[in-house]
Amino acid sequence: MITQKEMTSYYEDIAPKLTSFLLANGCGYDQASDIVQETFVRLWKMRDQLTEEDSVSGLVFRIAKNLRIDAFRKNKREVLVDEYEDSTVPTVEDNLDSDQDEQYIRNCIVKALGELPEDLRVCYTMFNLGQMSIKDISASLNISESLVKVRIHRAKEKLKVSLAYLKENL
Amino acid sequence: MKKNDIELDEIDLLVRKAFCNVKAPPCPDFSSIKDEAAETKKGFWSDVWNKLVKTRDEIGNGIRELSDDALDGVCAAGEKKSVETDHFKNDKDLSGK
Repeated sequence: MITQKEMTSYYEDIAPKLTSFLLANGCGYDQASDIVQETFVRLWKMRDQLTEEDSVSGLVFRIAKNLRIDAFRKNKREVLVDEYEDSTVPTVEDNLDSDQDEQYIRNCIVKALGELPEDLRVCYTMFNLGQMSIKDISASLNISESLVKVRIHRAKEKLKVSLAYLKENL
Repeated sequence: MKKNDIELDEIDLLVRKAFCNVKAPPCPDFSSIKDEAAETKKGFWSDVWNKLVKTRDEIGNGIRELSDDALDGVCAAGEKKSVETDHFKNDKDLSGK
């Protein structure tokens, strides 16, 4: 069974990745924070059911994905990217200029990710922002590893096109 | 840079960099979270106990009501009998006159 210390350590490792994943998938910062905390509370409650074979990271993303769907269903509408551009996401840096630049780039990326089909976006953000292994993504989404790779590759190709302007300006 | 046979290219690094400073919300206080599994078990047995007590009380009340009804019946029959006897007594008295 996972101890409190281990759970805190998992939180410190996974929570920033999960928050990024949720932000990249259309959640506002407050909603993402709620989902991240609720996910870990649920994981803590089911800690005695976990086996050594269970991937904590995979499980966390699966719970968070379901909570995100529930939250969207509850709100009856998805957060629009345009609305989301106005929200500021707290960062660990205090430098205002670099913070604003980072916010701008992040908004552009979120917008580009929002234009991807959901299956591609979820695979890509789990892989890149969630830093999950292909195996864990495959188990989490219940699809084959080769399909995960294909989806990541397709997402990358589309992002290369849609974010080309950003690369040129940097 | 390689991870899981998929190369991280410029786009991946750009995306990752844009989110690398995102601050996670504060860690929940796991020690203050109630152990729901134990609570549920406790709640289940307490429910069973309450139902047993309720059923026992209902059965007890039912029996009490039945016996009250039965006694009422006996009393009513007794009263009827005594009235009849009184009539008979009266008749007897009348005939005696």
